Amino acid sequence: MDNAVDLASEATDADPAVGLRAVAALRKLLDRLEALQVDNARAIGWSWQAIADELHVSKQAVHKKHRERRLFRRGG
Amino acid sequence: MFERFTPEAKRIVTGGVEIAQHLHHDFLGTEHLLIALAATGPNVATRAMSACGFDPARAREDLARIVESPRDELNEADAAALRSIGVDLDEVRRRTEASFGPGALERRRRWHGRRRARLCGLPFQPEAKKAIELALREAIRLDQRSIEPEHVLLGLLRLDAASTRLIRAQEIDPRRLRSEVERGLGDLRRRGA
Repeated sequence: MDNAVDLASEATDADPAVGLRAVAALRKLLDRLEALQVDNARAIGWSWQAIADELHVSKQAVHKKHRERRLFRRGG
Repeated sequence: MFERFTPEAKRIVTGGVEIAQHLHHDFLGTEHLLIALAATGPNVATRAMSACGFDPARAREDLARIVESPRDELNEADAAALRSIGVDLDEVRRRTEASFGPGALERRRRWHGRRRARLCGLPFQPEAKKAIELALREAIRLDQRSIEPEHVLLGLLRLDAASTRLIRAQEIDPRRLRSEVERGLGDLRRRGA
């Protein structure tokens, strides 16, 4: 945890290594949250169009991004 | 479990382990068995796969893109990096779990935590184990003493698993592949008779 505190205080140094690491982690978190929300929306009956509208992307884009992942989501 | 496997069929299992390790997957699944199977031969199984237009390289790419490895998990280093810009990952996790249940931020398959058979240190995924059992059953059905690659393929095709999803992803109907294998076996029998 000490490392984390150090890292937090270093963030103001505009060190690219720290900043880029944060961007990469944020992207991971973003992907995770998007998948979670898309899966939930589909589970409760949202259309791909409605999901795309909320994400401000095209229906094709959201479908392409999540269809494969959803195909593989169930174990096996 | 693998006593009746021919050396070539055994290579499906060892090759599957290698593919899983190469992709940094921490389990052996039907998807790895399928891709390793395609690398054997030429034999009845690989000829049937080619006849249906199955592209092993593409399957491998699909797998690398779709299936997550432990490196994709949000870890302590990510938590620290997020904290540096004022994002509290623990709080995000707490809130998503409140809405979507425990482990909501972890998308990886849940069977990991449980005790599983292991192969070369990799947990042997239940579906993959089932595929092996089905391969044995196919060999018995076909009156064969040993398990050949085609029996493993027939076993895989009996499941609705990652392997069949990889096949369908190439617009190949698993039933068509199945009949190609059966046809190849029929040709073999006729030639042998």
